[in-house]
Parts: sequence; C-alpha cells; structure tokens
Amino acid sequence: MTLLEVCDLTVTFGRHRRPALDGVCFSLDAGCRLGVIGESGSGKTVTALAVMGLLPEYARVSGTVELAGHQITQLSESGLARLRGDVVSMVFQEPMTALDPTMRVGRQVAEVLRLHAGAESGPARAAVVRMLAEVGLSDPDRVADAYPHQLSGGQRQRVILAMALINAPDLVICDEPTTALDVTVQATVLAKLDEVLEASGAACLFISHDLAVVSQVCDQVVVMLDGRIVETGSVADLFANPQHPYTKGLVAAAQLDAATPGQRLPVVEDFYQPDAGAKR
Amino acid sequence: MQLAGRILKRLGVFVVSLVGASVLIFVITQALPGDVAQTLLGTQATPDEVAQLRAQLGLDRPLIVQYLDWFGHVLVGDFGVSHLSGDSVISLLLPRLAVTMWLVGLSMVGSLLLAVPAGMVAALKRRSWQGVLVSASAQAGMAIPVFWGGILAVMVFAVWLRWLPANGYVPLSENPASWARHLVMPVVTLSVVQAAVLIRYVRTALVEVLNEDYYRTARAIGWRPMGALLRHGLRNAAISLVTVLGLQVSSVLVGAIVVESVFNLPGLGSLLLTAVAQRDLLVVQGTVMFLVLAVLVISALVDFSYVLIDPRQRAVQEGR
Amino acid sequence: MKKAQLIAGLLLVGVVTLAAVVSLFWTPFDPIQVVPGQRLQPPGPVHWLGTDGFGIDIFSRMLVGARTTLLVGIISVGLAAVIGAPLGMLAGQAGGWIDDVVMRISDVVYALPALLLAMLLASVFGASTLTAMVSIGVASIPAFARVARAGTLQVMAADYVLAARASGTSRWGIAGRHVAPNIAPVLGVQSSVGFAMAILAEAALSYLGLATPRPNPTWGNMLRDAQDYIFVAPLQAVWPGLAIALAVLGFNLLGDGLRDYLDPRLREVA
Repeated sequence: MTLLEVCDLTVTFGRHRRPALDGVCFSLDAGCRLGVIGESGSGKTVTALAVMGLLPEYARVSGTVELAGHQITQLSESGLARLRGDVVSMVFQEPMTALDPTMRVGRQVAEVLRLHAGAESGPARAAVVRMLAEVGLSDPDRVADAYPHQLSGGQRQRVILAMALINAPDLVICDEPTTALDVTVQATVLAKLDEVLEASGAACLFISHDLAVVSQVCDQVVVMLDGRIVETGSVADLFANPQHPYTKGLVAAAQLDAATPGQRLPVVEDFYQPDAGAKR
Repeated sequence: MQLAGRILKRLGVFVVSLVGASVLIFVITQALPGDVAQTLLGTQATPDEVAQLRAQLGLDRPLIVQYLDWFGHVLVGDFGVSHLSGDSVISLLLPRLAVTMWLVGLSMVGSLLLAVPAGMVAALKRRSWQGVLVSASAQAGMAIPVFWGGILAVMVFAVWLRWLPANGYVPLSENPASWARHLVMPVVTLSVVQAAVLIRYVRTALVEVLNEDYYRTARAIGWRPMGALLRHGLRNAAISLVTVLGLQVSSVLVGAIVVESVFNLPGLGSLLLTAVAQRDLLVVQGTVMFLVLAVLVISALVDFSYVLIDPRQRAVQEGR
Repeated sequence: MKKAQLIAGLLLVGVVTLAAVVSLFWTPFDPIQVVPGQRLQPPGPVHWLGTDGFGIDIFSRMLVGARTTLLVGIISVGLAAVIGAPLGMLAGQAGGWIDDVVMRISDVVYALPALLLAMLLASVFGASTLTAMVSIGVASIPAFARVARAGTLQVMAADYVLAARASGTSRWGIAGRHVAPNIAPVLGVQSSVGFAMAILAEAALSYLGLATPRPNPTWGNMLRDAQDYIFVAPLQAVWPGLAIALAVLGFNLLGDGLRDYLDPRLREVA
C-alpha cells in the first residue's frame, strides 16, 4: 500500500529563477525505506520539508504530495500540525541545536505525546522513559531530567529519535541524522535506528549525502542532483550497475575497499563535472 | 567557574559604576563657581557666617576627605541634609518613594505586556502587512515624547471624555479605586512609550529564535507557529532580552520623573524638580545619588536573572 | 521600501532645518514680545497656529524652537562624537587594560542619564541651553564609544588589515587609512539616531524647565505653557508635540535608512 506519493513536485524560493526542486516524483510504501541521496543543495532537505509541510511561506510550490491519504500541499496550517509528530515525524541533522536548551529533554519528548494524545503527565513520563530506553539510552530516568547541554551528541540524537518515534508515526523522515556525529557513534546510532524502525514498522525516508550510510538502512534509493531525481533503483542495482555519471562517482567513493592501496581515492568529480551537467 | 566569573565581573562593573558615578556627582556639585556655603547663604551673608557654615559643612577639609566622608555616609543610607529645611534627604525621599516605585514597576510590567505580543506578531508576520504595521507603529511610538503622550492622554481621557482625573495622586492605602484611577494614565503613557522601544529588541530576539533548529523541531512535532514561539521561543529570547531590560531600568526611571511632572504626581521627580528650582544643592545631590544607586542595583538584579532563565548557567553550580 | 525611509527621513529633517534657517531672518511676528490684547487667539489667517497665553504668535515661536532644537542636537551630538568616537577607536585598537578602562568609564556615564546630569548641572549653574547641551552630550558619549569600538574591532579583524599589519604598516597608519574611513558610515548612522535621542532629551529637559528658560521659545517649554490652557485651548498642546515627534521620526528614519543603505547584507534580509 502506498504511504507517500510525491508527484511532479516543483519548489521555487523567492525570486530565484532556478527551482530548488524540479518535477520530483517518487513513492514509498508503508513500512518500506527509501534513501534520498545527493550533495548539499541538491534538494534533499527541501524534499523532506515539503513532505512535512514545513517549507517557508515564501516558497512557491506546485505538484502534489500525498501522505497517508492527505494532500499535504492543500492542507491548512492546523491540519498540517495535526499530522506532524503523529503521522509523520522528523529526525534532524544537528543534535547539538535541535533541542530546546532551556527545557529538560524528558518534557520535550513528553510534549510530542501531549500535543497529539492529550496525555496526562504521569503516564506520559512512564512512556517517555520507556521510549528513551528503547532508543538505547542506558540511564533513561536521568536523561529525562537532563537539559540538552548535559548530554553528548549521540545521546541527544537518540533523544531526537525518541521524539520522532514515540507516537508510532507511519513515516519517519531522517535528514542526515548521523552526519554531525563521530564515526563510531554514527555506527551505533544507525544500528539502533535500523532496529527501532524494524520494531515499529514505520516507513522511512532517509536523506544523506553518503551512499555507504544509506546502504546500511535502505534498500531503495533515489539519487538527486540540482533539484531533480537522476536515478532510482535498489541499492544493490545501484552498486552493481550505476547509470548516471554522478551515481558512478558516488558508488566509487562509497566503495573504498575497492581502491588500490597507494593510489588516490576516487571522488565524485572524477566521474561527474557539475559544469558539464548544467549544459546538458 | 564560568558562572562565578561572570557574576564577579558583573559585580565589578556594579562597584566601578557606583564609585565612578558618585565621584562624578560629587565633582559636579563641587564645581560650583565660588563657594557652596556662599551660595547657600546668599550674597547678604557676612564672611564670618560663611566661614562658620563652611566649618559646619566640613567644606574646609581637603576635597578627597570630603568625598570619602560623603560617600561613606551614602553607603550606610545617609544621603545628606537639606540646608533649606534641615530635613534629611532620606526623610524627604521615603514618603515619595512609593509613587515613583508604583509608576516604574507597573510601567515596566506594562511595557513588557505590550511589547512581547507585539514583538511576536512583528517577528512571525514580518513578511506580511501585520508585521509591517507593528514595526511602523513602534517607529512612530519611539518618536513621541513621553510628556506629549501624557498631555494628549489628558486631552482625550480627562478633558474630552472626562473618564479619568487629569492629575493628582491618592495613596493606595487610602482609596484603592481612586489610586488606580489616578495611576492609569501615567502608567499607560509610560508603558506605551517604553514598549515602542522594546518591540524592536523583542522582534530581533524572536526572529533569531525562528531561525533556530529547535524551533523547527517544535514545528516538526506538531506545534503551530504561535505555539512553538510561546513554548520554546520566549524563554530563549528572554536570555538575550534581560540585558536590554537591565539597561531599560534607567530610561523607565527618567520617563517616570517626566511623567510625574505631567500628571503632578508627588514622587521623587517632583522632589527633585522643586529642589532644583530652589537650588537646594544637597537634596539634588543626595536624591540623584539615591536614584543612581537604585538603578544600578536593579539593573544588576535584572541582569542576574538570566541565571534563572538559562539552565546552562545553573548547571555550572550543580557541579558539572 | 528602504529607500522610501531614507527619503522620508531626509524630507522631515529638511523641513526642520528650513524652519530653523528661516527663523534666523524672518518670523511672522515677534516670538518673544508679550501682546496682552492677543491672548489665546485660535488658528486663523493672521496667526496661522493661533497665539499662546501671552498673546505671542505660536507659529513664530515654533520656527525659533526649531533653531534651538537643531542647535542643541548639533552641539550635543558633536560633543559626544568628538569625545566618544576616538575613545572607542582607541579602546578597540589598543585592547587590554586601555579597553577595560574606557569601557568602565563608559559604564559610569551610562549610569547617569542625561536628565539626572541636567538636574545636577541646573542646580549648580542654573538651567540654561548650555547645561542641557552638556548633559545630553556627555550622556551620549558611551553610545558613540561603543559603536566606534565595535566597528574598530570588526575592521581590525578584516583580512586586508591583517595583511597591512603583516606588511608593517604602523598602528596609527592603519587607524588613519583603514579604521577611520570604514567606521565613518556607522558613526554617521549613530549620529542620526543620537540626534533623534538628543531632540527627545532636549524637549523633556525644557519641558521640565531644566534647559532653555523662558521667554526664549523651545518646543518643550511651549508644551509646558500649553498645558496650563489645556481646557480652553487644547490645540496649543498639539503643534509643538507634533513638531518634536516629526523631527525625531525624521532623524530615526534617516538613521535606519542610512544603515540599510550602507549595509547591503541587511537590505537582503529585511
């Protein structure tokens, strides 16, 4: 069953002539995971914000985004607010700044419950602590009473993950969730993400510039370049037989094992020159 | 450590400002051409009388000794004696303090109650007409002298509509309803003028919040813009706003002195203006010193309140 | 939009300046001489804005008032700029204890608002235009020092200044060649905004009787006089206030307009 259907989505900001998104189409079935890969400025984050209905008001949008039967681009602000955090949730890039520094994190997680279920504070607390344990925080009671600055980056990212999952959403959008973390922490957070997504059965839109990271979580991938989707397919196909030169570069850069020792590591630019693409 | 350091630094600024301001006040008073005693006694006084008063006031001592003597008394709450009436400055101050305190306190609250919602609209709707309207009103409000605002208010509400008394004051303990009726116009006038200045700062602080990641997180979990700003924006904006508020204390006090004059309220402003008119030098000196001390203490306290607002500052105390 | 601000500001400031200049050569009536038979005339073809409680033509007094307003503004802002800006530049360039001392002095002056300074000066020397100018000027010094210091720090951190220092240009060479021209625009903006504050302060002081004494007209002391007749001739209390508000608005708009004009980065955001 299709959960998310994005069709011919075009977004332009202010007076910019070049659209940030240009005719983007893809769909995602319930419980499935789709990786969105591309460099910064390729439109990945704009896509995520469009699905959340969080594009700034000066954005001009055409095309359709249908999520769990709702036309996102048609909904009112209050209609969108009801969906956010409940049907669709988001895991952000910057764990250091994505939490309110003046509020204990337990309350911030509980807020997600309260906003949508109107939960009482007693049971909410219990649910929060349970969720914090579930995302792999070893001392959930203490973490719930901590302020963000008292937690490490990995801990904060798990808190954000807990906020995204506590209402059992149908879709979780992860926007470069591990980019800001240390490589070692990255691996454990990714593994935990994989585990909790599996357990909750939520679908996932996973945004990253790193094909290696995407391949750990997703089976299907779309490759974005300059606001367009240039290639779609399963991770396995992409690795085995990349079509677009940009994808070839991504694959080479992700397969570091294949590099000959002593030789320069491959980079995307070896395969794809942005200028050539613009003239195409 | 970081917090202790910041508090120590702020205390240092407080002490330096207090000592510096007291020196300045003392020097200006001493700058009188001729002699304080001569001025006090007038031109008819005999040299003997002048010399006697000089000795009595301790004016024959070196300046530094005079200053230390005066400042020492200030520190223990003795702000001098009026040479006209012989009353101590503090005894002149105290009965009038309540009026000024009500005016200053209520106006600070009032200006926040006006400026915060207006600043929220200005920030959230900054790209539409509502935001432009708020910003334009603030710009206009900033240009209105507070006393003219008061006069216009009298024209409308006292002369034309006859809803409120044009001037005067009744103590709270005597008749609360009448007290309130007499204070409404002064407080609202001062609040509006102060709010016009504050709105800009509130707007700037909130626009900063709107660009923060945690605001986006709040929107992503289902807050609408206004809710997200109320729940997660105000407290964060307050951290930068307390500094501005600390600086506003002195401008509210100045405004209060002017407004007291417009509405003929028997506060510290009228005490000062009477003393200036009578050239009662020591009362002016003592009262100004008292006000500077009060402003410095209040600004320091307001400044310190960021510790209550920002948990990152408190955490240091909890031993992390 | 931003350009409109600048033009509106220039226009208002221009009108005030014109009024002040005209008053030097011509006023419709004598702005000081009491005319007992002409008390409290309503606005009309002879007395455009009416006459006050002494029978003096209000429009004439308004014109002369513009002169006092501008004079106090120019002198006090000039005083503040001449003392504050070099101090701020010095603090920003020297850093260390010099910076600390300058900034602490500025804190001290900050603790003593213009009104309280004016009261002290008035009780010692008697209230006059001069005491008003001095107290407003002194009270405005910290703002100039802060702006100049911040601007200097910014310039000193710029790459081209680092390059100049690396190539051996002296401290004062840098101050003359790079810092002064680069912070001049900011100081211009501060002057305009400071002028607006000075007008407000002068008006308040003369309203309270702490500046230019009667019979010389200022917008502030005209409002004080008008207040006595508020029940019989309320319009009198409108004109001088309106003049103050428009002059302040003019200088504020000019300052804001200049700031946006000089800082294209800000222009894009707003």
